[in-house]
Amino acid sequence: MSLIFPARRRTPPPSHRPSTTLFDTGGLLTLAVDAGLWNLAVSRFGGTARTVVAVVKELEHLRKDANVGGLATTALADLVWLGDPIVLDEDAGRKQAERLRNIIAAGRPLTHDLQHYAEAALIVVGRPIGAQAIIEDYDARVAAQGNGVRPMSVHKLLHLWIRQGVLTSAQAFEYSEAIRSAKRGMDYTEEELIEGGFKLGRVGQP
Amino acid sequence: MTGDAEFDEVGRRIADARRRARMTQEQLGAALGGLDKTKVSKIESGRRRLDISEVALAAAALGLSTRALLGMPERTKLAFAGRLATDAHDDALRGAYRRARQLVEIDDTLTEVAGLASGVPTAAAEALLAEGRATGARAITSKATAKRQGRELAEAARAGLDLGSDALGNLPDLIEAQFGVDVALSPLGTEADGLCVHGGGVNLILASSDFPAGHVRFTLAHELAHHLLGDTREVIGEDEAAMFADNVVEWRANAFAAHFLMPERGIQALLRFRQETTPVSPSGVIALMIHFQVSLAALVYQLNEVRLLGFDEGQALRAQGVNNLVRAYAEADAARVVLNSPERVRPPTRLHRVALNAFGERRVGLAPIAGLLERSDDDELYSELAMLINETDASADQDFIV
Repeated sequence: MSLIFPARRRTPPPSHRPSTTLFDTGGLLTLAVDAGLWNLAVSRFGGTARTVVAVVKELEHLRKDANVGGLATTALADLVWLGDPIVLDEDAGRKQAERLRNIIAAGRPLTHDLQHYAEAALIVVGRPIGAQAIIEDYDARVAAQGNGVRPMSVHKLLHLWIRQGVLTSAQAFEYSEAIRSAKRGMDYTEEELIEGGFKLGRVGQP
Repeated sequence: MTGDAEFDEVGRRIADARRRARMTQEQLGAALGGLDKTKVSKIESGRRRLDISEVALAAAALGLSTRALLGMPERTKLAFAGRLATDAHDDALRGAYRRARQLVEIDDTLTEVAGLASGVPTAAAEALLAEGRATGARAITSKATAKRQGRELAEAARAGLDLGSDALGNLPDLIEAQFGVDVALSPLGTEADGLCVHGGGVNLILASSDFPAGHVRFTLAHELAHHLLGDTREVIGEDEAAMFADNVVEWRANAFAAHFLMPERGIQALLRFRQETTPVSPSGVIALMIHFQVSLAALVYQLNEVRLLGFDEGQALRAQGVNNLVRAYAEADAARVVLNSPERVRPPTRLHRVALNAFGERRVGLAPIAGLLERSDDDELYSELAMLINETDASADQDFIV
């Protein structure tokens, strides 16, 4: 495993694990805002974490993006923990992903050719295995939930990590602030992260 | 990589579409991000698979939807939306086409995910549609006949829908409820008046809300006429030149709009109440304009048609300027309903209602609602709508294993 960040803290992985946690482009970009946050995700999900080829392609595409290019580069440098990216079944899978992409976009103009395709591909891959997924785009999370994939934003992950004692609320707040500084999240208070209420409902940048 | 049968089919579709588009393999290769002719040839013969990122590029270059390119059954509305995207050649109307396309795509999503049902005309409106289509199919060349037909259809609509002869209330609501046609208002600028779309399973009237409300009502009624009369064009783009073009189709549509909004009996009744004589006085004209919620231009046109005002008198009134006339003869508040812009964005009610329900049930995200309302402030919009979310669905996060 190549770790580009110095390990800040290591928490023992939970005793029982889901079969697979899938990571979306937006989720990886958000985790990449802070080395400690990234490493925490690696330690909690490493071994069961996967992604799809479309996510890697989108990250490569975003490397040139003025806003998230640096985060994409950071994420791309450490994808080994996600195993070999899953290749979507060429025909049937791609058709399903296109259908889901139309649903997620719902008439919104796409900012680039691959937008929402990776999330759609993730859902197509995750559906038959009942996977859970870290997805930052709210509309994609709704589509995932409707298709049998349990979705979660990084902020909700921070909330659950507080509840399970993986992080203190102060540590979670620190990560939340790092995400905000990187313009990938709003201004949340420590209390909101503890409570995990509706303000965290839509959180997340695609 | 040798292609399987399904991938051979994708290649064949690309080759066929490329030939239809009169493109060379080099040109298609350039559109695919700089592939050489050999690679394009391999794609077309199924020996090289299209990369994920190339599918959308190929579809766009060849004027196909990605579904068509991949051999998926075309969803009629989505295919229609694709046509709207490629048909917008007129600069003035490009924004209107774009908005119509977006609404059709949202319609498709809501149909797929939330079971959105098509708009259905009432029985009375169905009868009017049959009558209008029969009228529209008759070949005529005379302006007088076109105007008479438009008037007769408007009178039939007033009678059939039991609307009497007074001013119509909320016209978009009326059109949607009676005719099963979606009505949208959108700030499209003042170059384009709007669009009537009736094809591909879509019935939509779209008007620019950058005009005063009275102007917008005439546009809506005019577009309704095109729909009722079964205009053979799937998409009728309207700017001022198109709406007032010198042909039977537009004469008929304008006559319908005028008599639907301002029936002669209704005008006469108001003038009797005001004890007006012919020609109508300037104060009477302004009173009629405010009562029927129409523009001065539309009212003068109609008063000329029903011979309550001479052409020169009408022109003289228009030359004074509507604001000057209102200042002289009406309360500013009363005139506001005609002179101000209507609501800036009005999404079709059928789509809006289902989108909100589906959002609450977490069957769709924010995108359809943001699109319908033309909003990009997702965080604020979410805060406004969060109360709709079913708590049981929202608690699904708890199943997540971290």
